[in-house]
Amino acid sequence: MKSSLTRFLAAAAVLPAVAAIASCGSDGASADGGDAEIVIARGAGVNGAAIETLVGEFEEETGVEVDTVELSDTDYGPKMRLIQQTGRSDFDLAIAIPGDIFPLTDTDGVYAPLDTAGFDPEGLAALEEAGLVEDNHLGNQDITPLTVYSNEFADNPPKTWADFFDLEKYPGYRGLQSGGFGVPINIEIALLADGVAPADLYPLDLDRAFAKLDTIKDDITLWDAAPKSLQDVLDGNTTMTFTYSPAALGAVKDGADVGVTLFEDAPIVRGYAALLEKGPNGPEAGQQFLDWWSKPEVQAKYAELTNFGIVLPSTAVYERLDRKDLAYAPFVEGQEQGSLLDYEYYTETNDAGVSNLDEVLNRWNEWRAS
Amino acid sequence: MTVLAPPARQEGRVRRARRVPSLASPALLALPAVAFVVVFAVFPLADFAWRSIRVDGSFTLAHYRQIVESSYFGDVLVRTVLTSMGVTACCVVLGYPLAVLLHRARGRTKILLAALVVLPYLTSVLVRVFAWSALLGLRGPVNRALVALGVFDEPQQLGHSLTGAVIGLVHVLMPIAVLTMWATMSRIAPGHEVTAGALGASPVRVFTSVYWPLSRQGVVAGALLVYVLALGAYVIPVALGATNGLLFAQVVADQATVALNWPLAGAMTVAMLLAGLAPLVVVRLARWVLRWRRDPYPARQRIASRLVLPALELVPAPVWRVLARVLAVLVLAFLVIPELVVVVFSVGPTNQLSLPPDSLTLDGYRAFFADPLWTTPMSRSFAFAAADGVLALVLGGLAAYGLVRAGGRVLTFGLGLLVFPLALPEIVPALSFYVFANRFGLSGTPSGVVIGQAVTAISLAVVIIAAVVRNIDLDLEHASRMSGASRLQTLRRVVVPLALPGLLVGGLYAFLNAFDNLVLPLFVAGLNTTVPVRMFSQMQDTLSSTIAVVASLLIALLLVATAVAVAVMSRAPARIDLADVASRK
Repeated sequence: MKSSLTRFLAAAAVLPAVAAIASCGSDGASADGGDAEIVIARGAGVNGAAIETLVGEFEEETGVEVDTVELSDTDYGPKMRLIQQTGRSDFDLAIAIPGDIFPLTDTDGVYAPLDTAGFDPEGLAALEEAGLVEDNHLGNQDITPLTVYSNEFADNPPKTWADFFDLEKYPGYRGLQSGGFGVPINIEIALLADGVAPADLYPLDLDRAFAKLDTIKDDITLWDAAPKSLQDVLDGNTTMTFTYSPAALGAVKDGADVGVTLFEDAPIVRGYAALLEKGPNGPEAGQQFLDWWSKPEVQAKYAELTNFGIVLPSTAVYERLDRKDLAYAPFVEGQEQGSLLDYEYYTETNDAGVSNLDEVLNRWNEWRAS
Repeated sequence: MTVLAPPARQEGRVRRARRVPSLASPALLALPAVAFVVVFAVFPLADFAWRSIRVDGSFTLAHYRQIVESSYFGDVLVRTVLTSMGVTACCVVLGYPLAVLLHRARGRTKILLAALVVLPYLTSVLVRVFAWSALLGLRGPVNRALVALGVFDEPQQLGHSLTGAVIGLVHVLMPIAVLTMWATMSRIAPGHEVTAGALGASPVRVFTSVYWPLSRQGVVAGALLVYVLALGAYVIPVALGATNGLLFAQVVADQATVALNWPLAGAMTVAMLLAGLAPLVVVRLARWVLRWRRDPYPARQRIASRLVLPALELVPAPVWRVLARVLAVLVLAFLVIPELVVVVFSVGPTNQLSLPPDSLTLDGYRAFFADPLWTTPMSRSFAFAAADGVLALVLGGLAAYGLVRAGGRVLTFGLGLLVFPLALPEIVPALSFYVFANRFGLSGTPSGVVIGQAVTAISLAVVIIAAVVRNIDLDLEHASRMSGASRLQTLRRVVVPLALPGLLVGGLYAFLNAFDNLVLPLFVAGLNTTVPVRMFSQMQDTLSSTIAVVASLLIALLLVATAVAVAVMSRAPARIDLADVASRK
């Protein structure tokens, strides 16, 4: 009686094993790149893919061999923290590391000093003018929380964060991010909606933020990864959500039937590029890539590929780009500028002995649990 | 051979009497698995937890104080434990009839049923979330049906609710419950029921006195697995849960990966383990108290035989049979429908995961096969998972046999040790293993991934196989030894054939679990990206149907294997029932 099933299960077990053995040989060989001259850690997603493309061009132009390691939103923080603890790193350069992680892991011996001597002069001038050059890191890209809304509001699209909280004018559920660095953004959005000026955001008035969030608590749904936020609008679960620019713009590009808008004063997520002090090939290896990276034409290409990340807000880059593609970029001359999340503030320890980031996460959890 | 007496009790008496020692010390067989799990999971975890009390060279309880003083952490723990218990109850109660149906089915039907039960397990939670979201959404079919039936006045936010989270978790964990229960039932010889019936027992009584006692071990093992896995679940509750339904895994994940407060994450994990253990301790204590009273005919049984049984017997047996069958079919539909949704996604536009798709296309498949960034991880994942499956089968099989035969405290302790890593939110074992692997140069290597993934694979295999071994009559082994077979011969000729269903299910699950492992390779894989990692990074920014394509390809693979098995079976001569072979020995 069991024989038939037994045989079936055996077949189910054997098939993959055969596939495994067949693939093992080719696999072992390519497992470790090993002899790359630079190992670059990059983000996942749209900007990661853009960097991957550019790395290919870099290899072609310079003949230098590069390996890339992909870091996702979930693992880059712990990886940077472990590098900080052990002093060992698998890569020489981290590019497009979100700004949240940088100050959290920026202690002596992790990130190497930056040498701008080899930078493209035009690019360096633009970078310095934009205030993106620091001792041990380079401002690298910016993602804005855009607002995506159902097209039933197309006649009278939402214009401010206050509209986001207005359930009468714009009925339906609202999407916010469930955890991670979306939480500080949720808080800042609530404060901005309640009329706090961007310049007065810090220190955050958490009581005020949660009072504002309470006004729509029953109508908030949460998402974890940005694609889900978009799917919720498309499926009609929410009528308005904050989501990150890659997801929103990707959908627009694909002709999704939703509205997208960049609210004034949207809190902006800043990214960084930094050299690792103790990477496998030393900081000089990564420096070589950054020198190339500073060229305005490379920056323009990056902005084009990502469709959102204006790395270098300067005419040197703009004149190489089609301006109509930049409608949702956070920093474009002539466009209202948003406010940067203040990572230094979130990293600071408050009176209670915990970081402001911990405090915000704690209050958010408390709010969700109550 | 007489086997009608309730075997659990009989086996216990035999064990205590130690008439014929089966192996000098069967517990020794568990050593390789225990050593493996201790070195690669318990030690890294203990190290991680140790740092929650020892920070910068001095001892501190600050992080534990922080937890105790927290205004919400207790609520979250209680909610997590209760949700897990609810999910466990759903899986076991609803899954039992399906396990029975699977056990009773014959030939091709059985193969097909088994394939359908395994099917959902092939689909990564990353894409399942979208399938459930489409089904449960405000405009989805479930809401539409419920409104049409008058259950709701207007559509409810089911896809962002506790209900949604429970539905998603039950869908993920039901196959484990069903197959674990089935593996144990497969040891119930049809002769038992026939004999009981011939002796005049009503069908209800046959079930309560023969079938149920013989399948109880499987129910317990299935419940244990589902419970511990539900405790640590992350992706499903986060995506399908409610704003006010915060569960533990999200809290600890934020501490471990965003705030980077590892000591606090360690302290939270310890608190979680204690809270998760509480219901198990309560059950154990209750049983101990009951046994201590030494009531030979406890009230529970009196009520059962005087009130419940007669009441159940009022309903004619065919009605019970039909009810069970209908429930089983409904559960099967519940398991399979989201998989169909995933297949529909895979032929929709490449940037869409909605129902119904705007258009039909095979672009997703074309893109998959043209892209080495997908095909390379695919073959790599197969290789890693196959290695893990074999490791889990060998180490887990030996451990399951050794622990069960050693019995008593060794069994409880050994099983507990092997299983507890499953109960932790994946992020914690993954992170602690990453720290460990980094220290010993395993990080970024294929062996690092295989070893890391093997831990949960072995744990799963042990529980499933142990449930089957528990039902193998020790007398059969004694008989074999007394007939002159060596220990090895006994293992090979008697134990392995009898435990075969458990071994196969255990090995298969170990393989699938390793294949589906996301968080561990996310940290450890480095350049050796696996399929789940690739899916995860693909889904970070933009919608893509590739994850549905991958899931559909795996479904297709399973269906091909099923078809092959059916074809092979219809040509081969009918084979004799294993249990018959065993009882003839």
